[in-house]
Amino acid sequence: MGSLIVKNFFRFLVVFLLQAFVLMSLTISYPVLDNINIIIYPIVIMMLPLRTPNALILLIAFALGILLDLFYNSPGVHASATVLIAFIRPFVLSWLEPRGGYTVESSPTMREYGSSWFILYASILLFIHLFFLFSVQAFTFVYILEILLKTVMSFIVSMIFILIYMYLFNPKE
Amino acid sequence: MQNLFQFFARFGTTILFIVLEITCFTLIVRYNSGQKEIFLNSSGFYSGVLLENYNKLVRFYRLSSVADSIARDNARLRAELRFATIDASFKRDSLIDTVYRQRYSFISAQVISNSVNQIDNFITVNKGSAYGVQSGMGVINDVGIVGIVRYISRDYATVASLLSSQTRISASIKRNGFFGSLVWDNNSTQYMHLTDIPKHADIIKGDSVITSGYSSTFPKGIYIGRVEEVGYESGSSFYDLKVRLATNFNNLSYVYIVLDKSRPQLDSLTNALIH
Repeated sequence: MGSLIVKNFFRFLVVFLLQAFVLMSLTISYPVLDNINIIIYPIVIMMLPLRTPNALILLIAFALGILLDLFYNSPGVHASATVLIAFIRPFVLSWLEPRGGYTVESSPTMREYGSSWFILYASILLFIHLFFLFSVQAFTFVYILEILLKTVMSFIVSMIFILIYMYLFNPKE
Repeated sequence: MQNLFQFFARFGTTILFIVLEITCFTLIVRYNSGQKEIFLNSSGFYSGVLLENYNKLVRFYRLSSVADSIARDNARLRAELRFATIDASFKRDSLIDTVYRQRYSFISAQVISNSVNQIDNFITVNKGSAYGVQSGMGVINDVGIVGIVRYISRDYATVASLLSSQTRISASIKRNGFFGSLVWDNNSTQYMHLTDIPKHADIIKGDSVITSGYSSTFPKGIYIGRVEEVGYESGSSFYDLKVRLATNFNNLSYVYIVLDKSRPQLDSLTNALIH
């Protein structure tokens, strides 16, 4: 129990620092692939243990989002998207419930429930996160095509980074 | 009372969710209207100090390219020393008195935080009001222009980058002096659009675009970029020129803040016109 909290706190810290100091300034500039954001911090929310109280997930998401907003110069933008995926996480989890049900003590990880399950789970949350994030950033749907393009491009690159993270550390909880 | 507890047990998470989202959107809207922004942006004290320490670490790895850029900058300054001055020569009878008075001076600053992939991008630099930086001053680097100072604290300043939906910079074509405004279309970090130049002007691909000097933000004649594509705004009598920027926003490290000594005079003249 204690180690579970320590591990999740440690992940929060590492992913936050990685996002704020490395990935924020990493931009990919090709003529077509301009303006890609690499966003990996939603994995902090994705990988919280299954029995984490929903209210606690929301508060963690809010804290993470606000901290990143300080670095992205965008008060509230990242926080609103992170809080949103924290809210829908339980619904996505119950929708993707495997035939045998979840193990109560586990975390939604690749090692526990297989890579295809995890990729589907992470994709849904990441896509919603990015789409909401870019919509809030633009604050109008006039740019809907740009928003969608940016979402898809950033989604592909971010997903690759998330999978690299998962294969590198392959955490159990 | 028991009903109240049941209600919270059932809808507590949803209520918390709504409260948090309202908090977020309040922040977003306040931020967009520019109010209290200074409190949360990266010129704020804690993230400023953190970013600066991080930058000290990273700067070491960039030393060679920084040295190159300083050397190039020195060479350019040596060649162009006169561009920072006002031509105060006048003719009286047959006596020609040629004097150049200093008009602009420059404060060098280090970039400690930078973004390029937002809709309104900001750059934080490590010089603030303690060094005489004021909001509204122009920011340039060794190859082109960078942005305009928006918010200042004692030791840091936040610069609105050219890459912002609100940017309008007065720029002109070097070859024939036609001027228009430079805007960004949220699309690429390398290109901006020069609009409001009438179609009867003769513009060709490759024309140099420079600052017009019609505001006290930037001195006249600072290089901005090159016309890459000559287009037309449909249904209007103006060009829509695609300009390739000289400044590379992806690796900014040193910039110069432009201090205009004539600015108080120009401002008071403008104010006199308004009242």
